[in-house]
Amino acid sequence: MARTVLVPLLRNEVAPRFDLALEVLLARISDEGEEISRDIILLDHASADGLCDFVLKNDVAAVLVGGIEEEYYHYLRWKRVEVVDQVMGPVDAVLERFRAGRLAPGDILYGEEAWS
Amino acid sequence: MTSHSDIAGHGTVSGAADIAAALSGPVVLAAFDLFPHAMLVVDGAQRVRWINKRMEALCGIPRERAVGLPCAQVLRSGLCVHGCPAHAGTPSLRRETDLLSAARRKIPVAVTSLRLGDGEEADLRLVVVEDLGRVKDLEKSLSASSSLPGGRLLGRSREMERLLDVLPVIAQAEAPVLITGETGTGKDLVAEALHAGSARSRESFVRLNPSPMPEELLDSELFGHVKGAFPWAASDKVGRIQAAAGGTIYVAELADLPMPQQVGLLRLLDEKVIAPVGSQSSVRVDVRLMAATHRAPEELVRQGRLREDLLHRLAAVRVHLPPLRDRAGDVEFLLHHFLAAYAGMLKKSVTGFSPKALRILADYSWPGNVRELKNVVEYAVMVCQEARVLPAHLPMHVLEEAQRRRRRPRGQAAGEARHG
Repeated sequence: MARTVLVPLLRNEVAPRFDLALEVLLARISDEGEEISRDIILLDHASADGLCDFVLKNDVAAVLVGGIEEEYYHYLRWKRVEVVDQVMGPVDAVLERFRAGRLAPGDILYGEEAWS
Repeated sequence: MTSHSDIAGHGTVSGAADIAAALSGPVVLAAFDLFPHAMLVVDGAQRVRWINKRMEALCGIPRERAVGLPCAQVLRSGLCVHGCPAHAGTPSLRRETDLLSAARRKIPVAVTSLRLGDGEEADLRLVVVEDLGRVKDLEKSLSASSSLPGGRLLGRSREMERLLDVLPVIAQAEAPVLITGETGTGKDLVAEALHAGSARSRESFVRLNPSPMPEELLDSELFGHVKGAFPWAASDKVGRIQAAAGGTIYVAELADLPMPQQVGLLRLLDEKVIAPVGSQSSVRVDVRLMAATHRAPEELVRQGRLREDLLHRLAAVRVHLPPLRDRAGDVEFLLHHFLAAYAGMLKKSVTGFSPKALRILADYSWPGNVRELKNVVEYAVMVCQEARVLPAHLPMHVLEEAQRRRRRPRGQAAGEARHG
């Protein structure tokens, strides 16, 4: 069954903060790790509460983000949403690693020298 | 020929260049590791060039990994996402915001951005991040306890408004304060409010109640002692005054302080030093002294219970709290204020006073002032089973005074109240 992944964006990179993101990417990923669809959604205002509601309403299975407050991290985990935080890098590189099942918290995917 | 101004100018530039060269060395960067603030150097492309140890701890990224990363990803401040001011072109700026730490905590911070160098290095900026968490916590606790200028002091009368107007100014001064007023008027609250509103508010507020005790014990309590000063002094002990260092020491009843200890306070006011018992040397203490008394200080001087020189030094600022009977309109205001507070606290649905109960309370002389009024309201709310407090719910001594007043001519009763 396909899964929906949400990535808060800052331009074409993973946003450094969940609570300040004004743009999110919603990607549908198949069981085989293929990207089925991709949507970019603009939010009318930045809000961690609002984004949590958005995650739940859209049946998001995983959130890939830079920084997220403890309270929201545990709330999403309690709602059985996978949260991979402290992630940095261009959104394509991050999604690609996630689809390959290799993305871990703290991964930095900038430039040629990507750290993990 | 070189003019004097040339030499001066050359000397200045050369000196500045030397300093700049020295400051650009690795020694300074190493020194930044010892700073209590997080620091990072960013370039014109908004990439991190260097971070100190404190920043490493805050962002959870080792220095070697942080170099080259976008500064917004490392700093994660509220300013990074929406209009980063660090690259606005101004030589320096400071903004308050918050950042998200590696521990997933949002921390209030002040971010200062300084442009480094004038030439090619002009694109480099040093960003200093101060953690304001502790300051904000203190501000919050202070505003909770003192959202009014007088903290928990309450009153709408002209006398109280005049007092509440001057309290912030007195708080900011460093002068000693003498607080006078009858018992129950709120002298302790004034002292607390003055401390909370002062620059010393982050330090201790130490209250001293000089209750009757052997003189040597009181000396030790106030000024401390050294090991061996008394047979039972097994180690050095810091006194209450030293415990208040940087903050405020408040003597709750000046009249209870024996003469020898008054000499010690006098020395503290004059020389800012105290002498711990048994010590050969004095200890310098930076403390603000406040004292209160419910008696007339001049009368205490006449009785030989207060040193005149201490009174003159203490009374640099004198705050007098009027008795409740002289605070027109405050009785009704305070009655309703405490009624609402106690009804909430005791989970009662009492919403007011009957007109007769209100008349009895308004005519009462309140010798115990606000403290007594508070106790009377607490009792009334406790025993009241109606929606309004009736005369039957008032304490016996209040009703008895009302009865006495009814039996006597009006003028005589009013006179009694004034002098009671």
